Amino acid sequence: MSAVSAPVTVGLGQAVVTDQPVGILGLGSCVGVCIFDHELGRAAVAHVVLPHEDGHVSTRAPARSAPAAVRWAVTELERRGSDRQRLVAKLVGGAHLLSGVDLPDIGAENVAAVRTALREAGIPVVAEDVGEDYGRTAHVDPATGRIVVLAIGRGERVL
Amino acid sequence: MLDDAVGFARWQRDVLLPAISQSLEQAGRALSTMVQSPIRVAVPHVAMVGIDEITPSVGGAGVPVVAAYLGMTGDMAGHLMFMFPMPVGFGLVDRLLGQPPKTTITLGTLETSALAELANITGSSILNGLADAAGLRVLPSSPTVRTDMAGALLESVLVPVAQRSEQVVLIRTVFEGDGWGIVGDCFLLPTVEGLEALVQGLVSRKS
Repeated sequence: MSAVSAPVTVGLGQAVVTDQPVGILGLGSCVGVCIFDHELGRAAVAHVVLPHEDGHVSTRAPARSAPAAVRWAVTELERRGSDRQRLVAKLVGGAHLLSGVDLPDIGAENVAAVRTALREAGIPVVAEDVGEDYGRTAHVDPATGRIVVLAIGRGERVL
Repeated sequence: MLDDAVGFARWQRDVLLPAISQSLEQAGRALSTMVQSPIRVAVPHVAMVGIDEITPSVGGAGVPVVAAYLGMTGDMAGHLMFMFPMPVGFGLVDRLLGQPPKTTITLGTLETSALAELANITGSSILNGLADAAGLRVLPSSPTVRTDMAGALLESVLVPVAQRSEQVVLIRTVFEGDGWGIVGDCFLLPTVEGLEALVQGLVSRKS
């Protein structure tokens, strides 16, 4: 199965609402949060960097923290006509690449914080490929609700 | 002195670059002894860059790379990471091990060890040069070598630092032998306190 083409990429702390394919490249400790509205063939795709808000607010990076990302995504989807009741989420990333080194496991913290924010927003997580010690690239197709996850030496996985 | 772009560019050229370049002559000698063939290490370019600018310099966040990581403790805590696009990193391993080009197609124990030693020698020299020039005490950890996507590896060391800082020092590093040259990027990621100590130390020593 070939990867979905992804002309647009979502960088660190960025988020988009779109009905076109998008990519999140080289996710390490960050988490790609994809909230789908299958009825409209639309998704909010966010590249979450940190588990908690750190006071750094930027319109260029609305998804810097897990709570801000989920808040932004739900607001933007609802503003475009989505009903929160039909939103579902898929998660990618949150790894701990340098696990043998004395560095905090921010990946695990990010995943936990995203799950908490989604639970509080009433959005179920229906699929995820998270944790472990390797990087991932996610190609997201809002029209089908499908995510192709690539990892070096591990082939691809479809969520 | 560092408040405007011209002043900052001059500071990079006149202070930061000489501090690193001098100590790399020693790294070249150590590497030459290791591989029993002449190797020279040079730093043609040093710059402060924003976190957003890092992955384009290695070809993009999703590009497979070989990276070698050193932690830093002491007066300037933080991280140091060498990064090479994967074919370039494998080519460097071939040079270090005296093998024909394209021999290395994956990193086994020997290949990992060679890159770790290169990072250890070169990274320690860079840090020693900066520490001596700034009057700081900086202790590097033992190196860790990984292959993965550039963005994923950088996130792992950037995010703990990025919670309070968005600038890193890019040290473009060239390894040259007889008839070959390989360019890699070295990212120095001090904590906010570490970067302040470095800048203050270098400025006060220079003035």
